[in-house]
Amino acid sequence: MRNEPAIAAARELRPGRYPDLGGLDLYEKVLAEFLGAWRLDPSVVDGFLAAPAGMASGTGSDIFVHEQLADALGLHPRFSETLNVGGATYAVMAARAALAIASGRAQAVLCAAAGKFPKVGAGGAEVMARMVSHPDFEFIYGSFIPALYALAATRHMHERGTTREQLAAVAVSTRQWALRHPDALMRAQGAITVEDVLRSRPIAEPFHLLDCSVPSEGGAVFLVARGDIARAITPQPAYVRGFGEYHDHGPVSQSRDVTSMGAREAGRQAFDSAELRPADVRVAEIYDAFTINPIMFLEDLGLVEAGRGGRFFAEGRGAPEGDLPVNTYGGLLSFGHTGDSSGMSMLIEGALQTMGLAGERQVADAEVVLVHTYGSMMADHCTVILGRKP
Amino acid sequence: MSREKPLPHVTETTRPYWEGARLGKLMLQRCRRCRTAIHYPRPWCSACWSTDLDWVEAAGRGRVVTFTVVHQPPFEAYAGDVPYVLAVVKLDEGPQMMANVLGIEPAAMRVDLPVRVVFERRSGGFCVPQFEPARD
Ligand SMILES: [Zn+2]
Repeated sequence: MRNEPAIAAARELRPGRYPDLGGLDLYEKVLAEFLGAWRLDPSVVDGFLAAPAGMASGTGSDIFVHEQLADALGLHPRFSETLNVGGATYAVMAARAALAIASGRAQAVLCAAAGKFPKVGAGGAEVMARMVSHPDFEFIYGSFIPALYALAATRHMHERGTTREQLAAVAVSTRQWALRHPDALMRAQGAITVEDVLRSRPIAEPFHLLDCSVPSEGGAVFLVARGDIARAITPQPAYVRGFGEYHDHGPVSQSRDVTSMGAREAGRQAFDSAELRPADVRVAEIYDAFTINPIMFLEDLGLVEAGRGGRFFAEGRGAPEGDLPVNTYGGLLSFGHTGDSSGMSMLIEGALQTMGLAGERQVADAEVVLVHTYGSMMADHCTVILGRKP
Repeated sequence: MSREKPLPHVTETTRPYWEGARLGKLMLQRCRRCRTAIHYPRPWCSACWSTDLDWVEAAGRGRVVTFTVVHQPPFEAYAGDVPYVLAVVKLDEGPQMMANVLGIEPAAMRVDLPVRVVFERRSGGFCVPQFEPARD
């Protein structure tokens, strides 16, 4: 890409519960963590992107986020907005920032997120259900997040032969990675087996508790910069090689094919723009609110043949010793799902793997890393391909 | 949180749908220009953007595209209902809609099950379209 846009710095807050912090307070904490970890010159930054604060807390979203935070940071950007594409927000930020840099409209764009997650037991499930369902034509039927994803899983099992055990294998594989991440929420719980997943409490068939991601709070910040600026910050930035997006159905009941969604089109655009093929991908970081997601999207993205996604995990191919590591930070399933900033986690990990900064869980030869995120009920899709070479 | 099941918010656009349901009719919009059948109600045809739409009664028959059996009630109003079936139904006229499938053992649920519409009475005189297995 022109001007070689690259992620030059990235930092994620340890996921957890931050009950005393509102949306903007959490933003402040995340930004302080980032600035403490990276020595940056504010004068090079001319872009700033943020997401609404407090959306998932059900208190009403604060949409004037970038103005407040840019002021606090002493920035006067020429490229700035508060944008929301649900879980796809942050991959879309990386794509927008890369476009701005490629076109010369910006040279270094700071992208930030802070996510709250309402307590499921304290009315949170109802708040979230209303938000992701059609309020008058879905919510009235007792729809809520795990059940809506279960609709995709049931049809995938019917059409493509995916099994209950294969879904559980996704949770098992992802937990193995979480054991290698110091900040993963489920690290202390240790490894799990397929049996553990099947024996956990049923939520909405085929999902049991361990098929569901772990609600938490957190956030992250990354900087996308022109190649020369990025290389002055870090010897191996994560170059944005390509990206694609596609916005499919709204409410999930209106999906034209619940087994295959917009990831196919977003991925095709990403590979085309990067001039790469699925076989070039060494690591895949895929949004995983539930165990069905990595199976569906590995298939849609062409990383695994259609109908083989479940078998891929059952054979351990996405696990630490596998041939295509998937969700190397522990995924939303075991690292933690940080509410409205959850779409950051796989992007930050993709950047760290590409930069060679993933510590204990670093994959050797992470030359090309694919990050796939989606927003709302798998409605918005954005794929970003990162690489060690521009 | 309430013990009552949720009720729809009725607008000028959706009123014929809910009034039809009260009379035991599943209503769909049909585009006068391109004949596309539409659910959920909206002021335009999503296929051709014509704003010239009719209301027609659906046959009330369709097939289950997919479903889940819910074991954990999402909120208090559903505490007495679990396990319940949440499904997407494709109507014979074409549109898809969400509903519960009633009158079936959850273990007997399957994809492609033929279903027909029934109406569930809720508070405030609302009738909500639901489905049950088609027996013919
Ligand atoms: Zn029309």
